[in-house]
Amino acid sequence: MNIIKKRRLFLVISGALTLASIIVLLVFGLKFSIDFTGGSRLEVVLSGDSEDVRAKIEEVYEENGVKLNSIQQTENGYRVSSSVIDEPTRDRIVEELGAQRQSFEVLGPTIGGETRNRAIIAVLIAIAAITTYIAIAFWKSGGMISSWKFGISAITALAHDVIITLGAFSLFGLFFGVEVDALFVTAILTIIGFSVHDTIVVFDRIRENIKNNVKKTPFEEIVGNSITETLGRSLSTSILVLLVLVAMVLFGGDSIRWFVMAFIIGVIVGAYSSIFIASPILVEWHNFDKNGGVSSLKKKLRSKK
Amino acid sequence: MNRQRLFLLIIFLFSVLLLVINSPVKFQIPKVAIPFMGDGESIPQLGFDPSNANLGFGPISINRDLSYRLGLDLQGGTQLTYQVDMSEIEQGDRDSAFESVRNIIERRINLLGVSEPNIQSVRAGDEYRLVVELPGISDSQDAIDLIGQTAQLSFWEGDGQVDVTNIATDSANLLEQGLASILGLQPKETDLTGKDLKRTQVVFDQSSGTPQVQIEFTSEGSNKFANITRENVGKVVAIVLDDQIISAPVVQQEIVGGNAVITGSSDVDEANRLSIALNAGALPAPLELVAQSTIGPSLGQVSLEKSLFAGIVGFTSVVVFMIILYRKEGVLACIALGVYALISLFIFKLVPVTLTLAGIAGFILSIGMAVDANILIFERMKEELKNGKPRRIAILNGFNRAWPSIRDTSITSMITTIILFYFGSSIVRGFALTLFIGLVVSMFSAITVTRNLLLVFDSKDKK
Repeated sequence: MNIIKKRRLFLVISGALTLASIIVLLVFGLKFSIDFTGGSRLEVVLSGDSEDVRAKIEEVYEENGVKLNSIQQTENGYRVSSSVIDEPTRDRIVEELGAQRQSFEVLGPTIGGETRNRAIIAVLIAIAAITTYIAIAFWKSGGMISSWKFGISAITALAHDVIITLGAFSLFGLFFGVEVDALFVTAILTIIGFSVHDTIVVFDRIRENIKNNVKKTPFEEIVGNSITETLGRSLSTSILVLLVLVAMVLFGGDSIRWFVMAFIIGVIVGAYSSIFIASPILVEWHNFDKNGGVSSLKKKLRSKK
Repeated sequence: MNRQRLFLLIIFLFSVLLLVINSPVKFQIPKVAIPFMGDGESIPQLGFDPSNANLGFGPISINRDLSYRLGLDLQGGTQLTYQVDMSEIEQGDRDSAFESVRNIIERRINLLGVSEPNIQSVRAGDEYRLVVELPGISDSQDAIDLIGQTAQLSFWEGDGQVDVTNIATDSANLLEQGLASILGLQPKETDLTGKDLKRTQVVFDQSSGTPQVQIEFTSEGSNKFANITRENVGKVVAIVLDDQIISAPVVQQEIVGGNAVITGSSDVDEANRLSIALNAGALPAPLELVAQSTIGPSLGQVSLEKSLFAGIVGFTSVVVFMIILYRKEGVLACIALGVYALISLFIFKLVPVTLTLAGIAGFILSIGMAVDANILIFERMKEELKNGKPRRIAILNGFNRAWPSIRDTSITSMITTIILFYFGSSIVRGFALTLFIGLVVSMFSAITVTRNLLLVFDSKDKK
């Protein structure tokens, strides 16, 4: 299978997936946890039929005049997030539910807003820093292709990974009540690191092959060869990391379950995009510029008229 | 012995040392009476407690607490975040006000009797915050009440003579009624307030041994207090906290010099309560509880066990997978991975890194990254071997060729961890820190440990 020859197919598939994710995000949005909005999160041990318990929780919260945000099932009970409640109210709720309290969190709205702003700034800085680093690291890429193209192709693949992960969590929120919290932002940033990780390994090989290119092999072929040569490593590493992550999802307890789930999606999408997205974009871009870039495109359009 | 062998020997010895230090259990060599040497009394007991290094070599002595530090989510407890309202405090005085709020809270927490409480001052721009961590406290209301008292302290005097012995000092009387019954019909608030208090503490009367509360006033407070006492010798002065009379001592004489004691506490607890309450009035700036989280001790314990188990399963599956995939090289990589884990854990102890659930997740993830470096090297080696290079050359080339990838991937991940650490909350920081340490150590272990292992044990060409 020659990935580079079929690159348009993969680009279309990924484009569709990304678009679908964006639509899901726009329509359903993300369920933000109290980490960002402020509020209370109460985790209780409670058994019984899931439907009944949910109805009861809703009832008890309403009776106490507390606005309910979401109910999420845990291993032995429920995690309920709501508007801010004080301790007497909390104790009353726990008693009326006939439950046992496991953990309780309250976050004021100021802190929530701050966490949100910080998260956004952190993600933006990370993206900028990584693009710059790749551009510098690939400065001498053999003259065949500008180093910024490496950086920006890597970032495109990365944006693809992040958007798809966000889309998945939008659906998780819809179906499982999963909330996006501070830890999720951590996961996203680490996914960014991972995704670039994979892309760099392929790009590194492309750079090396450009340097050793004595036979004047065309760029497309160099990229194709580089992908084939690094495929073994990419697969091994991804499988290993996934093994570790699956162990964490299965045995790590449910406070970090969705955090790890975000990683799993990110690692799978990241491994895919470094091979099927980042390099094809590099090739497309290179070919586009070789054919005269924007000015020739304008010319083409004009001649069509 | 060549250089590689020597290096491996050092790494091996170092690892054994780390294994001892990292071990969660104490080592104790039982006393054995050696025959013909008396009753064995002269033999010092040998043992090593890995949670507390206590080593002495002549003038050099190392005494450090080397236990793993667990976050509240793993040991259970309460975390309270307070915002200090500085709007009433002048710009130049804010730092010192912040400092004194912190000190007061620290003192109050010590009265709670929590083991190893932790208070962090966080300054973000114009925001002054205190993060209070109370391990083992799962019912936070007491702590919140004690810390968050925004009570206003006032001193009242009166002119009537009343029977002092009949006063209930700790029930919530209506203020006016209460004051009237103590001070007569026209109680008057003095200009002495909580701001004039410097500190209070519980002391014991030297002759009778009964507990009493000692108050130290600021210099301005001392003057005010001297005036009040001069005018009220033999009379009662009521100390009111919010709307509650907390004490109504009779003034024995004029007090100058800014020190006073309140006698009449029946036991130490009562004296303590009074002392705390008085301190509450001395907070220079009001506090607001902006965030709170409580984790039950059982949940913490379960989370810890689960994440450790997950870590072990993850590590084992990596080992199995590596050996299946790369056989002999896989075994060597796993040895390197073991060394990597030992060094990382040691650094966690040394720094010390507070281990949270997310932090452990970061560490487990970094195992994946560490092994990636090895895979990159092995894949390169395979290629070199395929091209007919002798094994030794293939190893060296494999390393040199894989190095740029290892370096670039590690550095980009480090960039994200640094950003996370800088912008993140405490949970996120725990993750970023363990991942960062993991990345640095994995670069080291891949380059040095794996490389030398391969050169020593795997560089002979198969015939």
